[in-house]
Amino acid sequence: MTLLIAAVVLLVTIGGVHLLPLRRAAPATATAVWLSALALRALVVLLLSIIVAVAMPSTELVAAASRWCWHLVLPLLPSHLPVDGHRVGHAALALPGLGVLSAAVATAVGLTRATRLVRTALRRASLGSGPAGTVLVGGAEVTLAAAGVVRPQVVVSAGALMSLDDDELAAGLDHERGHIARRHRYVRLLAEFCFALGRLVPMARRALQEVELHLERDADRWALARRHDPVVLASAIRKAAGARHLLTPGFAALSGGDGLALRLGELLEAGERAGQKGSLRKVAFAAAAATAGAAMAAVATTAFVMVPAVLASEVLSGSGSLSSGLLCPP
Amino acid sequence: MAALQGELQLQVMGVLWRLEAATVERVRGELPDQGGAYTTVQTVLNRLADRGLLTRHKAGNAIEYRPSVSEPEYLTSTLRATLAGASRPARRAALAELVGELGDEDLAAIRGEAQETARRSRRR
Repeated sequence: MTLLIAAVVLLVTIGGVHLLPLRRAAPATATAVWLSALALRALVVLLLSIIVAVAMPSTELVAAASRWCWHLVLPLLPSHLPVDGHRVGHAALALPGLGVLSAAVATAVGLTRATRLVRTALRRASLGSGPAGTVLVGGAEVTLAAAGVVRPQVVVSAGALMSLDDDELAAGLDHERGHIARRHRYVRLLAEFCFALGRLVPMARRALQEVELHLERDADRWALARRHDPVVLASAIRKAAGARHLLTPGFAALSGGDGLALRLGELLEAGERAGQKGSLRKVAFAAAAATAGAAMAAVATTAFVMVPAVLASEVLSGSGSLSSGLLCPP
Repeated sequence: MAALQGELQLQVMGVLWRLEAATVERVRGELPDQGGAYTTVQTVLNRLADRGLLTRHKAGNAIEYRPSVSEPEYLTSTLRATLAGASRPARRAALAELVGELGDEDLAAIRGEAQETARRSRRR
């Protein structure tokens, strides 16, 4: 019952985020809240797999299920194999945990490989130096992007240099510098990692898209704080809208992902709100504290329920496994 | 005004890709309606040079501008990105469609260039 309440609280917290009017909030706040929602999703999956692996073996439900499977569905195996059916049943309960672990490792490897690929692709595609220390690449489309994780660089396409005027180019470049200066690449990597773990919890992809959108809004504001005209930046974003194929964990393109209309609308109507309010660090700290609080509460609840269950099962197994003996006669 | 500037930059690059190297006056003569005033064309050429798309060279008393990014380099990335987004059969069909429209001379030239590109990338 306590576990159920903890699960409901976590799910309500996650679902509640989707009801908040975060698109009207400051980008840093919205990013931190959506990132927390993704982190909580990952936590839910982790806790569920731990519960399944640790607490479930001591329940009668599992004992009954493994007896049913071992003696009725596979009746010949127990007589031919010297394996205890309950041990096999318990081992099977570790599968969700192993699945989560392998997903975490696969995601970490995938993200590392993706960032390396960006570096290699950049080296191959580079045609030389662009304006203001940027890397010039080919392509008729308007591409402005912050690429790389360890040593990020601003990439600009020949198409962008031909199609954008001076003000649009300067605003676009400052938007990309904003991604680098505000260290958005680490937020993006963390969000991708949490998404990979918590993708089974509903609307995880939406949360990831919202993180992307608010990082773009944050970079927009960074550029506007450098005295660029919002209309000029909107024009550059509009021209870059065709280059979305570049979006990978190691790449942040000017056009961003979804929510282009929102960003353009915000820029066109709200030049007066261009100043940056609040610091990402403070808000991120508050959100991280809230996430840590929820996480610790969930972990404590789980431990509170699981430790007695595990202890009880050890006592029972010491006295001849009462439940196994009842359910599964030798 | 912004769109006009971008358009003129594209036209100027198109002219220089065709001519390979040209002075302000020559570029201006190749533009539709002369591309506006001499100083406008000069400003655009200097801007493109500052952005790394053109290089400046002295040719007698005049300054010549040359593209530092070739037209194939400009186009290849876009074509690659477009084709990368398509399925394998669609990619093959699209390439076959394009190649099928070419004459024997063009096909022989393309084959030679493709072999040269493959040699270069092997060396890399």
